[in-house]
Amino acid sequence: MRGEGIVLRVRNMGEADRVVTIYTAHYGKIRAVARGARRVRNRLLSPTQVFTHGRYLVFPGKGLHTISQAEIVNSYQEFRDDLEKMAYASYITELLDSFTEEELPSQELFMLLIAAFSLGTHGRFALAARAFEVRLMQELGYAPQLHHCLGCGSAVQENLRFSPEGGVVCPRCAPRYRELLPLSNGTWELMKRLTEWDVSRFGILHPSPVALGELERIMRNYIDFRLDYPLKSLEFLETVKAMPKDGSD
Amino acid sequence: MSRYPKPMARLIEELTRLPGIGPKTAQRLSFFLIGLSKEEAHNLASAIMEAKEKITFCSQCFQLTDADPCAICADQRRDRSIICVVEEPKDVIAIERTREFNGLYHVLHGAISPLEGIGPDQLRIPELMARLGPQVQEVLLATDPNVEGEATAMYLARVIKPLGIRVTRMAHGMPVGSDLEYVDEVTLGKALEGRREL
Repeated sequence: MRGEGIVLRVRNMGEADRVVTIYTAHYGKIRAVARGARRVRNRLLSPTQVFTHGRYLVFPGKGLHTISQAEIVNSYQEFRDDLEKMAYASYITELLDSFTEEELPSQELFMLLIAAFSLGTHGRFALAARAFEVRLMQELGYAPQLHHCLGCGSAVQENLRFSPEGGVVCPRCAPRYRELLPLSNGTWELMKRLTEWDVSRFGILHPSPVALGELERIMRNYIDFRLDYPLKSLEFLETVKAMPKDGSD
Repeated sequence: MSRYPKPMARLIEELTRLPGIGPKTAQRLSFFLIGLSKEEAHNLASAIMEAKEKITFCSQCFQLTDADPCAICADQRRDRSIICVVEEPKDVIAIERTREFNGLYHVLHGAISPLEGIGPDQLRIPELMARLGPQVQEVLLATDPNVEGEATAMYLARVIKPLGIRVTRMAHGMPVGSDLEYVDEVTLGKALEGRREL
């Protein structure tokens, strides 16, 4: 197996080895052993760090594969030099790792991850995280219904609410649903663009902090509804967001 | 395993619990141990028991010790104005081997790992903050240069700097004796960034 990928997760194994989870462009998520990758002079040391975008040559095995060669395309060093960026990047990689099965190829998800990381390098991780959540759900077949009411199927226009069960709800159907979340027109438009636009165009979006906040609450509920366990990186992200910034990183 | 006499099977089973020891190595080790004299075997067993019973954590720096406070914390010749923060007890040993550092240590017993769900409150960070009295002028962050180590260092820098204490980080650079062409671009980039005048 040969191709590009991004390291989602790394676990130490034995004395000096690592088990690396990589999201690849052609094979989907794979797990492979990097032998000796914790030794200072090993050539696999740097390319097997979390968040690294690299080119990997992997020998297939029965259980775990083995990384034979690797070179860095982009180390995303800036995620390691900034606490908030690191927290967001951790959240995005954990989200992808949690929702995907091994060796189910998806070029779209790989491109989405690259697009989200690219937005993150420009300090726009709040938008990157929301775009990643919306688009990931869509690619996995959990796209929220945005054009028609979840209850009656009629075309929706305004005064909308969002149900974590799967999409927008019109004012007439709203009383039949529990746990509805507010959905302003600005946020609704943002969601539609995030589902319809090419991922490479997300950078030209400049949503208001209010819309991003509203979408964050919506997607958090939407994802919780579909995931049986809490994401570990979320608590750290909340801790970092609540910390005062002092410009030290 | 049933082919072995019962006490030997038990020994093999216990040895298999050790890190990096598989069933084959455990069997080989057990044959070696059976071949020891009674006195040698007793010495090994009593060394394990003595270490287990006497080794605790220093109440100040959380390094492994047989006396509280540990030898480093108790040594009045050490510079008390600087604290070096490390992840694991073995990191203290590594830095002590250099004989370049004469301050005190603080062992966190781990690193912040967003992906493993290890947060600041699961480490010895509150104890470190409690040590930062008026005599401490510098905190040297010597956590590992990987994602978890960097997260820990950045977090500590954010909480310690507002106290007016100087926060420093171990330098990143090329390993001594290495060839420049084989050094990866991240390390090389860090080495260039941290270049110094001769």
